[in-house]
Amino acid sequence: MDVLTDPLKTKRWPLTAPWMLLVLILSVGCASHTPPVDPDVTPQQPSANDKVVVVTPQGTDTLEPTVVGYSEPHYEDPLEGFNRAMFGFNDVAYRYVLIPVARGYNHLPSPIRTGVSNFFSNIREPWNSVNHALQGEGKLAGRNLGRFLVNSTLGLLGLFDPATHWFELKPAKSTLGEALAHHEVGYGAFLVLPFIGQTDFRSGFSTFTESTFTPLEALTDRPQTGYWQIFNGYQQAVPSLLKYEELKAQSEDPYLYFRNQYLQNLLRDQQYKKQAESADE
Amino acid sequence: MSSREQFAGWLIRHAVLVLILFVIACVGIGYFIKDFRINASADTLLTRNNQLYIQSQVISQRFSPQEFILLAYEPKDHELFSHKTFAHLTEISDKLRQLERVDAVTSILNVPLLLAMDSLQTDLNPDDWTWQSQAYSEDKMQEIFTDHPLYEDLLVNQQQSATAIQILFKEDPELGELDRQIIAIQKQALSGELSEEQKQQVEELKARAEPLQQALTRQRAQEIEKIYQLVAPYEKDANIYLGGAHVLGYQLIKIIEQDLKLFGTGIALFIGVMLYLVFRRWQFVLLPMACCGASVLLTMGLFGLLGFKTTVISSNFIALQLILTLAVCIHLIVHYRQLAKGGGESDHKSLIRQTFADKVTPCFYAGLTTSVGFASLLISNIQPVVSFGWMMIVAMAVSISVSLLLFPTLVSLFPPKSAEPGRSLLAPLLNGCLAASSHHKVLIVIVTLMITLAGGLGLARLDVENSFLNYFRESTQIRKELTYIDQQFGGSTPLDIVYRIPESERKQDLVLSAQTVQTLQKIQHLLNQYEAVGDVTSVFNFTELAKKINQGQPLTEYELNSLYELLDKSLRDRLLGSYLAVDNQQLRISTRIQDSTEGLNRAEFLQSLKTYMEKQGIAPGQIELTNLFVLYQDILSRLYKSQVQTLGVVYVALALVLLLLFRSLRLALIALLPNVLCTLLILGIMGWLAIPLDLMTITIAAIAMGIAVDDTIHFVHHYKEHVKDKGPVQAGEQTFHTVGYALLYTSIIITLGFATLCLSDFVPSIYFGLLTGLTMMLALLADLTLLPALLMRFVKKA
Repeated sequence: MDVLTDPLKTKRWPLTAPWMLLVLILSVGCASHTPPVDPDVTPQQPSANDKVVVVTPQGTDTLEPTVVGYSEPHYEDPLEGFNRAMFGFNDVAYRYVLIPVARGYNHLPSPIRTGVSNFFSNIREPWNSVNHALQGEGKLAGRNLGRFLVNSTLGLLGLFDPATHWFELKPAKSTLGEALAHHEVGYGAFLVLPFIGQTDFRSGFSTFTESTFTPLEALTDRPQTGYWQIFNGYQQAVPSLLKYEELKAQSEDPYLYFRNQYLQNLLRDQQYKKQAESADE
Repeated sequence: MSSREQFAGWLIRHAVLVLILFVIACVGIGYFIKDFRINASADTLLTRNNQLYIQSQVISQRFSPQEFILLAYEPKDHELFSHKTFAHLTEISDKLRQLERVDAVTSILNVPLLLAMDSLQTDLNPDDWTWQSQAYSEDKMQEIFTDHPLYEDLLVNQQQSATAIQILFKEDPELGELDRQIIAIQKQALSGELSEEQKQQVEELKARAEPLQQALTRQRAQEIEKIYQLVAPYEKDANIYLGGAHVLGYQLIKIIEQDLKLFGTGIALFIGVMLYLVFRRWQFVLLPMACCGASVLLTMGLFGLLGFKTTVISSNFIALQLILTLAVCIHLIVHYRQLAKGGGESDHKSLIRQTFADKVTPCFYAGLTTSVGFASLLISNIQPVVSFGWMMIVAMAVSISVSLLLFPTLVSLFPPKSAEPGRSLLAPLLNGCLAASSHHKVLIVIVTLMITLAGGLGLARLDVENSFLNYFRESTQIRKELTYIDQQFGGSTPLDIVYRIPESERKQDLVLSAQTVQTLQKIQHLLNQYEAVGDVTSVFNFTELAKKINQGQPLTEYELNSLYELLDKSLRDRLLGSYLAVDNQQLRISTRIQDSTEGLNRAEFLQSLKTYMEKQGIAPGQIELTNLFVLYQDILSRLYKSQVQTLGVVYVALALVLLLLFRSLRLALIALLPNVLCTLLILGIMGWLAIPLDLMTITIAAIAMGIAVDDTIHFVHHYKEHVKDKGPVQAGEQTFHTVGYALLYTSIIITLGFATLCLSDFVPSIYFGLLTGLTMMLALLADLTLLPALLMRFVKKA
């Protein structure tokens, strides 16, 4: 789901620490300059995120919706001025650099791309485990460790995924951001970062932390670690980058479209969990 | 010599010429039988050009759902999800694809099984996710199809005992274009009147579409026959059922054709036997039958010439016409024999002349009253019933001319040996009636009124529920097939709910907001609460599927939108085109109503649906209900009114005809009363027997009245002729002994003739036969008891 509808979502976009700090300071600095949202200017629409209540001849039924929506009051975007500027910058960067390169990357044989993706997924298994543990998901945390052991060895440093195929240990990802959300830490505010795109403070912190303390350090030294991280972030963003222009073309205000999409996913993930993750095994 | 006798004399002198003229007419007009058409498509039962119909057409064009036939496959001894089933489905699908007009064949083997995906993807090629390309295991297939949001009830039934193949057909591009043009013009009638020019344009376009439509109907019939042939080899391993609107149409045509043949020949043979039993002269068997044959031939030719199409409703016109032609002939024969018996020396030709002169007036009026019965159908406001009325008026005109012109001519050419009419077995019956009506007048009136009252109470129980399935006799194969599809694969009669997205639910940049999808969800959940609602499909089912793939987590409206925007355009049209019209901001929820649902009250269901949709906060203006179900319901809702109107018109018109004939208000009212009571009684009986009013049964009362009043006319006419010089008692007695026999013979033969309709597989025909027959018997009884009692009491002088 991530890849599809969170174009340029960046929970795990790797950053070198100074970069991240600079950006955070910059964005916080901008916060005070953003005028508050005037509720009269944006049309108010009720959110449609709760149970669906149907009155039938047999009585009143309550159903879980298949599609949910949130509206303006749920969106925290005090940095809109800064964000819009960054969005404009990114737009140019995407169109002239990142997307053309992504198209090229996409032409690589799919086993290579899968291998790369597997490798980076495996690298973050310890983090998945920690994050699951933080949420009290012991079984999943154990599974993450199991996957890490199997895939790092039998899977040749994680290039392959025998854990899924031979041992039926299915992937289960979890970020620090999710762990924080679990403990009811709010997302702060919406944030657009250069190159990285849509994110928020909580997710930014999560990405920053996870990429600062990465098992990758065991394999490489700085600054190479950082380059690997950037590459990792990029290869993950490729599918979304390829859809960026098409989605942008159909929206009247692309900034709002991508922002709302990002925030709605975030709010939805908080309100509704995937069944497989908790119910599995 | 009266002018009537002179004309009869002329007829007899020029008998050969008249005969030749009739032969020429039969050949000339009969030639057009080549244009005689049966049209039994469900469409023929609809009233066209009305608002609802045009609306339905507009909607259907906007969402353009494809024409399809369902083929259900129910394994006998093997598992549904098994190698054998898959092999059979593959073979059957391959064969079906070879049919010329088939566009696609969809089965569990080639539908995209997106539930097999791990996560939602937009760059998907649906054909990668089919059994054909992935060869999923039997267990996996079973898992996927269990509670599938889209395919349950459509491709696999809930019990997983059968699977369906959907055969989709291509549209005829030329016909489709003509239809689009017609609708484009008619659409304007929804907001205002059409100009003369536009009306003419529509007529022209329709004339151009007509031959294409006929060719298509023929082709459909051939296709269905071919499909039955090509599945035959699999029937030892599986039960195979065909369903869909066009299969229904095909089966109806088959039954009508069969009925036309069966009753064309069956009734003719039966009538022949009856005639021989009663009159015992070959002339009185073959000559009436020749007249019947000529009538039917001429009428069918005229229908071809005039472009009348026989529909389900008018399918028994042959039976009707045979019976009506015969009735006139019998009256003539009976009178001829009585003259021969009483007149002694008179020669054959002057007997005929006398018969003609005596009987032409009552026979003509009898024919006229029957026509009035049919003509009353013209104001029913229900198109197929109206056209049935027109057809029968033509048929009656033919019958009257044939029986009054050709029959005397034929009899004069082939004189029968005179014979003493044997003592009839029916004599005691007649004598009993005579005695009762002359001695117990008051009692008769009281008994009649009580019976009518008791029966009439049934009027309140008259119902208009009806389903297409009930049109077929329960034991028939087609009834079983259609019922199976109806119950197992999501119903038969389509009902569309079109939802116009209100301004308040629209969101910038989004094709659909979450609120809109949730409104759909509410409507669908509501629909599913009704037992009669079968398969329900709309955009909502796709979101349900997406949620399932997304591991049970709802999508956000933006995710849904991105998914929609990123889907390949042609795939988008293929999947969603018939449910979503973005330009019109309309969504279509497609359902089928299960016709076989016990005790379904259609009007109540629609009303409740509307009420509850409003209770969800959906403004009535946002909702449009269309398609066949609504159109039928519209007709059903008008049946009561039509029944009352047609009967009212029949009563008034017949009173006028009787007044014209007898030139006495008293006589006219006396003649009308028994018949009015009979029709009320028959409707009451229908109520008691829970026979619903439908397109066919509402014609019964009016038609039966038109026919039954014939007997009354003959009786009153004869009584009136004699009462002036013989007094009421003798006149009554004589009428009983002359016209009484004719009445008995015609009524019995007509009733038995109608009773043969019981052999039909078409249930409305059975009802029609039985009820019309019953009306005839009741009318006969009234004519022999109540009528003479009233006449002898109130009409003592001419």
